[in-house]
Amino acid sequence: MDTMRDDQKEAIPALGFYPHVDISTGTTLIAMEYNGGVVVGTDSRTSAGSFITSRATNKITPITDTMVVCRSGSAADTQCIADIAKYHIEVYTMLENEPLTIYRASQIFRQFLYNYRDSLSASVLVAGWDAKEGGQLYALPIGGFVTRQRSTASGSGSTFVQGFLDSQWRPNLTLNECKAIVKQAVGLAVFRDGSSGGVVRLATIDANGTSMELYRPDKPGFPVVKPPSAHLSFPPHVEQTPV
Amino acid sequence: MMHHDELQRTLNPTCTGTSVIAMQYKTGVVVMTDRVVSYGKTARYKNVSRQYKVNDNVLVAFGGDHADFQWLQNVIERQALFWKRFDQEIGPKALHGYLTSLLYARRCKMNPLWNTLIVAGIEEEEKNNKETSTPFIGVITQKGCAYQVKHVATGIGAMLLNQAVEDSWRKKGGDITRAEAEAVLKKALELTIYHDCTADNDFEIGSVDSEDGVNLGKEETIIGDWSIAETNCQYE
Amino acid sequence: MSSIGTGYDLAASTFSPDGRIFQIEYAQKAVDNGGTMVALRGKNGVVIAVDKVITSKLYIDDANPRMFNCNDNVGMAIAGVYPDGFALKDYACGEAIKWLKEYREPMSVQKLATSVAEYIHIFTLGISRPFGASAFFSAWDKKKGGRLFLVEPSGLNYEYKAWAVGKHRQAAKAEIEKLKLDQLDVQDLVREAARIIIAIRDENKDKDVQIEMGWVGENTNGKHEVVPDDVLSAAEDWANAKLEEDDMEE
Repeated sequence: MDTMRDDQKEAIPALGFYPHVDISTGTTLIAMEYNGGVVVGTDSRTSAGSFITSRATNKITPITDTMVVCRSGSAADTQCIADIAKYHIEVYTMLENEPLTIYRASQIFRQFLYNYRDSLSASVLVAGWDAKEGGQLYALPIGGFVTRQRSTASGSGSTFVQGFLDSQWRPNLTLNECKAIVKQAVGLAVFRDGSSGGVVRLATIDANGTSMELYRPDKPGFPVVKPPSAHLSFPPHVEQTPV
Repeated sequence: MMHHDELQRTLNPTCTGTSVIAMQYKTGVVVMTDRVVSYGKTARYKNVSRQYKVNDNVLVAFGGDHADFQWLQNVIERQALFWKRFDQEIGPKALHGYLTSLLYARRCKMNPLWNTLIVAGIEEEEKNNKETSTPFIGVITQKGCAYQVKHVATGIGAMLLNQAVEDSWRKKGGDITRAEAEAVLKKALELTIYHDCTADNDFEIGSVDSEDGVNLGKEETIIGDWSIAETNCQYE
Repeated sequence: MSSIGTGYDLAASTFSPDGRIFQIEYAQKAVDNGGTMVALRGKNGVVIAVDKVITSKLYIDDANPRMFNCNDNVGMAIAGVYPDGFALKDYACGEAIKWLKEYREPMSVQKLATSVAEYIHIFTLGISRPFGASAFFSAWDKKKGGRLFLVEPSGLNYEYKAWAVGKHRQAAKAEIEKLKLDQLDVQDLVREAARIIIAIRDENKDKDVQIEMGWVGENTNGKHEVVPDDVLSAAEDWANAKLEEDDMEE
């Protein structure tokens, strides 16, 4: 029986073929609106297969002083889109002589994600503040659908925390409450998702601009997840370390 | 047809463990495994041991499929019981040979056990004999390829750690204390948590010593150094 | 055995007109003629002792043991015809391993005894010669305490507080009944078992004998073991001294 898939068979370096595993930001992205702004939180892991190519990646890319984009999917695709979209947004800002709304920016991202949906593996969260609507959060999953959300999670880690987020959002959240929820959500996702990990990076965007925070596992403030204590690993009659 | 083959392959390993790292020291062997069961890339179950004490002289650690190992654990237990019927305790070399045949036979049947096994131990006759005491580390891959080593890292650790482990080993000229060996193992685990998606911070170090036999490890945690995240990590 | 020779005792396949199967009774005789085996259940363990008959001085020490483990927790002691008992022991070990394979837990003493009893029973149906051996099964755990079973050549299987089989079983049982078993711990059981076996020996006939014991209890953490030589000889010394003391009083 053949043990290799055809595409794997072609990936034998000795024969001049190399594996083509996507380098991906298999990610946890969390974002939540609060009274006066928006908070986004991410992990810092970039991987190729199960290999971690970077453990301290910054997945929060500033677009303007009051707007960031959080990327997930293929690292190459999303970096390219962010660069091009940023360029477009800067050009429009100069032409129109006023800052673009976050909604406008999200539509620019949408054009790329939708028009090239068959060749891209990219999904982003656009978060920011503008004078018209205040703090806003737009989710753009793969395919180019756009939707504004009060709170959302994206990337591979999102499946682990969607329920937690749903249970936490309420109207008139304060900044500190919002930050605590987002940070905890990243912590929970990182705990379970092998594709997410490393440090937690938070960005707060409000009328005053963007401020970044870093929470390291080796420093206080890193979210704590304590699952229930375990039972024995092997059948009970087998000698093993008690739990 | 192709489709059918792919299905078999992806279905087989479901709940898995990653690297095993083991090293000889003067009078024994230390073995390190983390304590997470991965389901694909989900950290599905925490606090699950990957080290099985066969008897006072033999410890088996594994990477790969947990279901396959649960079956193997039972096979080993019954084999040990079978030996007891003749008033014997199975030793590391005998168990290593037995498991090699087993894994090789299974892969020849095109139904391999999805495990890399580390058999660590000490032969009863060589216990407490400082001159001839030779701690044993045997490796068996899922293909039934088997060998003995003084130190080893399996799984993603094989690509990542073998050189680092070997360097540390050579620095001491192979004359290494237990504490030094444990320190090397912990440094190796730190590297796996930096570079292996399915590695976990929680781990255990088991040992087989010529003086006090098998000692199962207790759960420990490693955090690592994340000062690198303070630097500019933007892609631009 | 008044009915011997009436023609109904040639095979176990035929009942006698008064409802007996002579072959099984003869098989039981084989056990009754063997070395006395005493089994005692105390407050925190079970001890089985046998006065093993050494049929030749040319055997090595501890040849033909009668105490075994079926698995780590269950002890088995075989009385009667040695090869028959040994075959039962092999069957029991096989069953214990089969159970471990299927259920991934050790087979319990009750299930083992039942399984061996059913196996033995098949040999009472006339397809073959019955086993000329009986087997004690012993175990102890925190929850259920000590357990002691005896399986006989007929396939009969009872649980006991204490029992004796072999040559001097009647005398042994008389001695056992005097004991306050539920107050004795495993160490006491070892001493009392040694005392009973030595006390009931026929000094003229039982010359080439050796005591062999197995124990399982709180002291062994529920693992059945052959009682170590030093413990055994200390118990025998104690028993001899005690018996001498009793003689003096008389």
